[in-house]
Amino acid sequence: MGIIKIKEVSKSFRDKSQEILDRKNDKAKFKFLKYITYRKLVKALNCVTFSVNKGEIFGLLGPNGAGKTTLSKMIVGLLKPDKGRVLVFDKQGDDINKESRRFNVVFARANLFYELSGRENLEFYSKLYGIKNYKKKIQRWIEIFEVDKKAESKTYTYSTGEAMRFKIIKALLNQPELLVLDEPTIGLDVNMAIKIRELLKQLNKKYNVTIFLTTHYMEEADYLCDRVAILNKGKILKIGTAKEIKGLLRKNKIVEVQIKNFNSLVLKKIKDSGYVKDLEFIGVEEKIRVILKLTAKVEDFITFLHKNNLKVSSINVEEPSLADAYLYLTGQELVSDELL
Amino acid sequence: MSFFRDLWILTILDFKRYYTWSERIVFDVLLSIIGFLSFVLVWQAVFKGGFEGIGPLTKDNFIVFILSGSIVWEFISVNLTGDGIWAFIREKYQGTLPYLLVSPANKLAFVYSKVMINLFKILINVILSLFVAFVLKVIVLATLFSLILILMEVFC
Repeated sequence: MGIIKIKEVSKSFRDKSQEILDRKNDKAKFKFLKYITYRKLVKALNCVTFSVNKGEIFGLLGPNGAGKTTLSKMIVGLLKPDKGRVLVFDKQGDDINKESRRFNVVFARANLFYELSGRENLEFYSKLYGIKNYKKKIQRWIEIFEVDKKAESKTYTYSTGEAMRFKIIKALLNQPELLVLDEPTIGLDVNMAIKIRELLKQLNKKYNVTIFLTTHYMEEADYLCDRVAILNKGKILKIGTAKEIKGLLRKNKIVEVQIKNFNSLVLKKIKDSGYVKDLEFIGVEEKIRVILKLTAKVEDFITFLHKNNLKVSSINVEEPSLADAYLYLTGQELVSDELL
Repeated sequence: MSFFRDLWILTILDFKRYYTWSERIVFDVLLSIIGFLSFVLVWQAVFKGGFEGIGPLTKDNFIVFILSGSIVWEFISVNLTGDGIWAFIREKYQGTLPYLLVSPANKLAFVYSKVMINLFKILINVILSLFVAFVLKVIVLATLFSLILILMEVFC
């Protein structure tokens, strides 16, 4: 059952950076106003279709300006699509807000009230959502997120990470069925980011909370998400599990091997094995980095090493990461020329 | 009843936010006194031919007094404290609006909560104006009439 259903959604905005004087080639409403500057329409989303199932963690990956936040705002009812339908709990448009007790949201750019302390902010939202025994619940979350020392300070004194932790607590207060998280770990230190990922995973497993999250962090999407969509320039490029998306890369497998009694004969043997495209030494002489041919299998290469009595002291196989697949799909520059 | 519940929660929120800094209380008191004195001074300057002496008002001219004073008061109130519609713009620029709009709060209660804080400030203003009026022996009726005018302005 789809909790979020996005059907052929398109959305355009006036681009503030592109003011145009000549309006002859553009479909403007008031053509008689010839000399007034206007802003060019830019498509933020272009015929986006997908659905998020109950109990699923769905990740939306994309570069800056891809349309991730626009889509998040549509899901919580803050924006309406120009075309298509956004259904949340089978409600659309203004009706989405009627289900607001069933979901909650964290926006990277939205803020808590800076004149109040973190605890006062949480108490206010608890009252607004009609949460019972909220003081105990707030204290529990404050301890889990390790922000007890900051709870009584005004939020304008918080660092980005501290403010983000309070925003996440705010989103968890009403025990939502659906959590919409727009870059939830941005600005957090590594320890806290890992802790939040673990917590989200636990929430999903224990309480079957559906999570829709947008992120820049590939390892986050890889670790957390059941399915991932890659969005670029308002279009969905691919939807699937992280494994499926990684599988799109026809990447040469890279094996790092450490061989005892390494010499030029051994090197020649490996080069002539028929599995190797290229190799290089890493640091110490015994350790080599072997780039296998596309057709070669890692298992066959290891068998070859054993058969030729080459004493392998360590072996490490590099797999393509979600980041590689992301860069490949969005057409951005790859880090290394040996990836494809 | 959720309207009144949400209105109460949101109004309390605005009070807490507004009076976070105690300097604001001093500012509001000073503004009320200065605002009221501006009624008197403007009226005296325009209709009494200068600042020759602040005398009591008469029944014949108090409406002119109130109108001229109200204009000055509104100018100070709206332009210096940034009330009314600016409250929403402030929420937008502070980035607090998305969470409020996504929450189950009654949207009408949200709008009226912005009025409530202004109403409170106006009440404080009127009380202080009455006090100043008493000290200056200006007709109390004039100040009460100004209260009615201001309330009409807020709610209409």
